[in-house]
Amino acid sequence: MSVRSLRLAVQYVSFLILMYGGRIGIRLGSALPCFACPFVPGCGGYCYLMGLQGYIGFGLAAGGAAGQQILEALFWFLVFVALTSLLGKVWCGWICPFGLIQDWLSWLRNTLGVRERYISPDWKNLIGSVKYIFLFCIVILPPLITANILPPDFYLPFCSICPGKLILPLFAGETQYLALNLDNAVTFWFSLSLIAVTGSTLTGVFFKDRLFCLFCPLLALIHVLRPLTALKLVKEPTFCSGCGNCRRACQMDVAEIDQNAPQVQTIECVDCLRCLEACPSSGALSLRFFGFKLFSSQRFSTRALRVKP
Amino acid sequence: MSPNDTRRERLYRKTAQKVQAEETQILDWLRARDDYRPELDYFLAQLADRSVRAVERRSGRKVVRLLCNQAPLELFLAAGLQPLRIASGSFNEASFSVHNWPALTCPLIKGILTGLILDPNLLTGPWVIPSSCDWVVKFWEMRLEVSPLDMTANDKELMFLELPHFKNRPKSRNRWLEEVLELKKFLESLTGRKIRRPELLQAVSTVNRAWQAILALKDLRRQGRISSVYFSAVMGAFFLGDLDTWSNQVTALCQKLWPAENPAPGIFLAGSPIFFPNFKLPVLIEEAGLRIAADDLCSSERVFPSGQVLEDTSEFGLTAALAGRYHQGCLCPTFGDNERRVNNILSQTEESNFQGVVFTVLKGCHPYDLESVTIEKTLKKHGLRYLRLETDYSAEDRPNLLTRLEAFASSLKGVRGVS
Amino acid sequence: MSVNVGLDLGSTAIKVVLTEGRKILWHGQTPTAPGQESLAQILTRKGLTELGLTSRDVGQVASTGYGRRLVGFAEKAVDEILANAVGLFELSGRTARHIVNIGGQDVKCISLDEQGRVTDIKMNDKCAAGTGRFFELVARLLDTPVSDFTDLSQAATESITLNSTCVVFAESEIVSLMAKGTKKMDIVKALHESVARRVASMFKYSELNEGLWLDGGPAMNKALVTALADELMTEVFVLDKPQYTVAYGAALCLN
Repeated sequence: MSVRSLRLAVQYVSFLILMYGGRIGIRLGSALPCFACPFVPGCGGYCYLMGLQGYIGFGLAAGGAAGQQILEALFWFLVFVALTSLLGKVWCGWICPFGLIQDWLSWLRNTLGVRERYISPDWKNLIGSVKYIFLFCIVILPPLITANILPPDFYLPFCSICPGKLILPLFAGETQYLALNLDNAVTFWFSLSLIAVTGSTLTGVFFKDRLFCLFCPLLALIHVLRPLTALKLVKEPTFCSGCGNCRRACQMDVAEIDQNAPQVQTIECVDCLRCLEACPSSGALSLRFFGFKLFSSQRFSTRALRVKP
Repeated sequence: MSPNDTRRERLYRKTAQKVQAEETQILDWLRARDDYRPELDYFLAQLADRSVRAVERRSGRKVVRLLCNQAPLELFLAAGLQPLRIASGSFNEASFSVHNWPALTCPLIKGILTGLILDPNLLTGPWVIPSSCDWVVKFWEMRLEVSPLDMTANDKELMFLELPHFKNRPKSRNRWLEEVLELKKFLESLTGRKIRRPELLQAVSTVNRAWQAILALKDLRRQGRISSVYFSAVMGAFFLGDLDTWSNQVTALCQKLWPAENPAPGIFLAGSPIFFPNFKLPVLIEEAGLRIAADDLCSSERVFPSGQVLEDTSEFGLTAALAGRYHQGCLCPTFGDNERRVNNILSQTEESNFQGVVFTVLKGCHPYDLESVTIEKTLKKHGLRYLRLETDYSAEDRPNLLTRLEAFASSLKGVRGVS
Repeated sequence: MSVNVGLDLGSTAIKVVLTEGRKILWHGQTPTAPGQESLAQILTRKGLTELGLTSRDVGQVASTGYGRRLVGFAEKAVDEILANAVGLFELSGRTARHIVNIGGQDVKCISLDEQGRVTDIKMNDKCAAGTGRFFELVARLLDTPVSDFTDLSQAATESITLNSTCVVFAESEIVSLMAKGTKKMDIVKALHESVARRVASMFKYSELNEGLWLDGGPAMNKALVTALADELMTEVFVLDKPQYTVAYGAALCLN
């Protein structure tokens, strides 16, 4: 089985579990490092971003009085760290349901024969910095609500504009987030932004593989924990002939992947392993779990070469 | 007709006969070997007639002459054209024009220039000339010396493909992409037909199939089950006919039951290309009790830079990926940032456990000569045995080369002073 | 008694060494001429006779040198690089790391590791500059036997430079030097320096280790040894009879 088909299988299984698992009693908790959207009725687990926003808000609201809630917040934080340390970016490339939806759009583009757009490293850096703005808001807005500086409608600010909140519930038949929320000015603007962000995300992703991952605050959080991560993509520069197959195969156009250096897993990398599969030099790229090689590049696998005329 | 003209014609005729005899001799020798198989006949028959007309007849496509396989072959195939790498390994051809050129001129270029004199059909027709090494760059100008009649005066049949010599630099890559897009237009202008996505996909899959056939053949050679002289002959026929037929023939050849593995120590052959009928080195290496298990010659395993992995299959995406692959994936020493070429040797040695590397420098091939110094250092640092052989197409240094190869063979077999 | 025979069929001389185990019993040489096989046979018989032996005492025969394939009665043909390495490594008491062999028409620079394995081979390919032929040519021009070169060179008073390494060009350069009245001994000294420069250019200074041995006929020339030591800035060792190392090595390869 090729890495590609294995990944696709994992993506679909994860999609089913995370989107519908709740209906058969699967509850994977509130600290999943992927867009397992809590707004999907009957979902199998919750995205940690929601937990993060919620706990910061609740925790501060309760103050010292509600020690139990602080403990709970700490518990989910540790669960998040543990899950991230175990699988790293595999959460993004293999498990995230929103990632799969982005891949569908890439497939559609490819089928239609439309070219993918290239984003220059400078632009990528600029776009990439947006996710830190999101992170900043996630951390700073909930306390402001608690302190009554912002109205409670600012609760879960990231979720309010996250395209996952609009798209993913549709798969469970939940269509309410498609509509404008006219409760008040804040909800109106939030729901309008949600539609605008979703529209532009879908358009952007259609022209560029996984464009949204560049904005994703969760990706940044996972990357911060990289030193703890057991699952790593490692490059052995001695075996790399610099052919650039990896970079051309890369969904995220990681520029470092074909350089003459061992550090290739940059913040954008989503561990999709296309690079590993495209690499013609045996042993140049490998995915390691606690140092143990799970996959290693080989002279072309037949599968990687197959092109349908 | 002046006496000078008849004299010149006699000279040309005589040289052509000598070239013919040289080729026939090696083809007969290849057929007479013990390990000859009838499946090889297809390739040897193609080598016997490498004229443009024969290639056009066999492939059913119009030939575009390529001076160096730097240009993406897929584009030619997608345009319905047949790329033909012009090369010469003939001693008689190379030594014919010896008086016209400086002593250290590349024998390959000298051979090709003589080829132009001997076969006027070679010159007239479309040419693509990539600017890889200095010899290739100066070729079109040198050609005026042997063939002053500019029969391809119209620029429509000639394209210089400018190769940026730094492949790890984004700006160079963009420039190269522009060149490749230009090449696409040039090829389209030759046929009057647009190269579109379906034709590109078809061409990519044709080349990928060829690559898979080459992989099987490479494995056969690594195991020591096919002689390198036959490997060279098969690769020498790469451009000489329809590529799909070639791939099928190679696959058939690989499925043939070959004799047991050759126990001779395997070496990696690196360096300047080796073209038919100059099989001097492969023959000497075998005579010395060694076998070539793999190589990185652009006439052989690097005939094109391996298969294509394509994610963006749009028309532009395919062209851009092809451009990238033929630029960054090329290990030609004319690149200024080619230090990772040695990694290809190291990873293959690691994989197949070769003991030594023979580095061949064609006299006058300066880029390879220069790189041999840094490569020697890196290989020795990794504990590999290394032998550098500088030679040309002549047979006069055969005993000398053989002595060195035999000593190299004993050092690989671990023969030591006194145990 | 089982005697092994090592034959070295070089371009200028045929050398024969008779051994028992690692011990050299007899050695001899004769100039190369047509009919090398019979010359080698005659020389071998001569050795056997002097030792009071017959051809029945011969165990095995190994041949080496350019003519190694011309000898039908040899059981084994060894390339001269390996034979040289094996022979000199043993005779140097396993201390040799580099061997410079100046033969009749070539110069070989062989590098060895601690076990005596060949790690590097450098060799002139198409040009006879710096070889034994070069010395013969100069000897003819100066009308002085090569054996006198050492004394002549040591007596040199003036320092001149011989610019041409090419045998052909050196000939005209020497002729014009003689015409100018340059003394023989100064020319000979310059010749040694020129050959030493040529040999030194085949080594990378950074890769040069202690333990450089010179062998082949011209190694008997002490002035050449001095010139080479000067040029490479290292001590150059020489055996008493440096021309037999290759034949001896071939014989050892039979063990």
